[in-house]
Amino acid sequence: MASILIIDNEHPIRKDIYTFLTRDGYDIRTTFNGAEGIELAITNDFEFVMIEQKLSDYDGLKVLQSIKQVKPETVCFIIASEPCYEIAVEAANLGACSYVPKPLSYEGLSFHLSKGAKHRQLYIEARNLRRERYNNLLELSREKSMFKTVLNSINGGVLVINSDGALVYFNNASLVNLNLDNLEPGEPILKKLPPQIIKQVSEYILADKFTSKVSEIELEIIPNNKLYIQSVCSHIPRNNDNFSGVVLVTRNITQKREIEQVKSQFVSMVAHELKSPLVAVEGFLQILQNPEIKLTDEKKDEFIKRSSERVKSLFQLVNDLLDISRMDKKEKYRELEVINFLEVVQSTVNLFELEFKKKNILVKINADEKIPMIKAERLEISRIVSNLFSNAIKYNKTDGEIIISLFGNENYLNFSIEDKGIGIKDTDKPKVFQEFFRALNKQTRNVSGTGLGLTIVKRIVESYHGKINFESEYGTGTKFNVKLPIFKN
Amino acid sequence: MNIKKILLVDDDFDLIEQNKLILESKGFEVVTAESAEKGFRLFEKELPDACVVDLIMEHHDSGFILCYKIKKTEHGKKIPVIILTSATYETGYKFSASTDEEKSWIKSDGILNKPIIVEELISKFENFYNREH
Repeated sequence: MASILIIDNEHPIRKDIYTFLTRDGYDIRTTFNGAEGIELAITNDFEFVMIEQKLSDYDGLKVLQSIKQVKPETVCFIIASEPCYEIAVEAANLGACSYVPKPLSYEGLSFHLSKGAKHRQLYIEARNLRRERYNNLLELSREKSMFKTVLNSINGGVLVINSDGALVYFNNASLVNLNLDNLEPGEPILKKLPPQIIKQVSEYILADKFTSKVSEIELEIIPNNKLYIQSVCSHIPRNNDNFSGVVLVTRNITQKREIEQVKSQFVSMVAHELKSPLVAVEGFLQILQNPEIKLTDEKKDEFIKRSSERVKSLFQLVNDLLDISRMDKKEKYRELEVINFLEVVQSTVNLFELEFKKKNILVKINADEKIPMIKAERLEISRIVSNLFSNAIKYNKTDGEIIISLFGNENYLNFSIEDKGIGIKDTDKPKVFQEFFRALNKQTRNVSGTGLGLTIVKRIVESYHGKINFESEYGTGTKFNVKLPIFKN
Repeated sequence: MNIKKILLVDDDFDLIEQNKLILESKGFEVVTAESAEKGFRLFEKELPDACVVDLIMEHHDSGFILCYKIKKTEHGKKIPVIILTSATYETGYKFSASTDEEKSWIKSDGILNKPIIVEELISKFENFYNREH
């Protein structure tokens, strides 16, 4: 039901008009002063407000202005006992729908109200349209900024080129990946790209029709392995068979390449290490078969013995390699158990008894009374101890000494093996944990080994979040220290 | 060709002994060293008629460096120096002295695979002397 507020010093309409309007469905309220009128109009939703031009407390136009400021959709009329052209114009400027002279008749009022209703309807429609448009724009700009934010935060470079070879869009990563300072949308981009990419992109730009084929190349942007990228090029489809341009996605693959290089280097080293003992064995076999070379029986026996040593070392190497390759997967499938480290040490010492007795080496174990337990796979822990212990025997002097100590503190179990052997030269120290590194000198000449033992130890220790280091003085001895996290219930 | 004395440098004692026996059976006199450093000292002392040098000893390029040092000496320029290695293309070490650039920095007069094939080695020596004289 439409509601009307009438602000006038006197009752402006006759009783019968009031009755007619009520019958027509209007809800009418009246007030005699401007201040109350403003208050009522602002706090309620009147469709129509009729304001007497000359109120006792306010100028009617002032009231009109105050209401319109807050409720622009309210249709206001100025009613005037003394109509005046200038005031009518001003009222219209302030947003009045009509300027209605007194006395008010039913017909006159009906006319103005129905005109006002249309006025109001148009206003509300216009306002809704405005709101809708605003919301659409907001959504659009949100989408646009989201698109931009996403493209700028992805690690890959995205570069869009139209079919004329002009730059349409690029994100930050594409500048970084192509090592470019800046680009301007619209500029001819091809000449700024590396030759391999120009070739790649040109094929797509010059194509007759759309293809879903994707071209993928890898290239160096900054030499010396500083920046290596993968560049993927594809068409942007338009209509059926056509394309509107080319999108180039670049990805930094420097790290991946580094890993590949390390891997292939490792494979090369492995191949070399596998080949060396084979070459030696083959050499012995050839010499033993060579009629031109005369050998004593002792020499023949020695060569056979040496061949079998080399074959043994080859087995050891293969086992070590398998251990290393298993290690990465193993972390996931470990069978963890609570282990008493001292037990592992004692059983390892027993296992190697023959070997250290051969060199007359004295083995001392210093352990705290109560050794904290650790949680690990038994096989791996005994590998740590046996690799370090066998090194301590191999690189020890005859009549030497090995001191093993074990003690725990708050978080770690500390385990160390100290030998009184040949020690490690300062120049060799950085390479001790490196794959296939074996110090070569007079003292190590007759010591066999794969060069993988300490690599394996370090890998195992670190996979349990432990630490390993060593102290050594050439000619005096070496001490390896291992820290492993203890198991807490 | 008049090769009498050959210097063998290799850090693998088994291979030194084998190659020494093979070369001696062909009538050469063989002197041996088990490191690049000792090899160079022995070269200076013995002034051999040919050198056979293992590539990977203490370091991955020990053989190259020893070759380079030998070839810089007056005597070294006059004799063939052959590099011996099991680190070949098949095992992933990509080198050969095929391009001019590689020839310019690899100072050896040939690269041979292990194990040594004596006939191959001798023909390398012959090639060198035929070219030089």
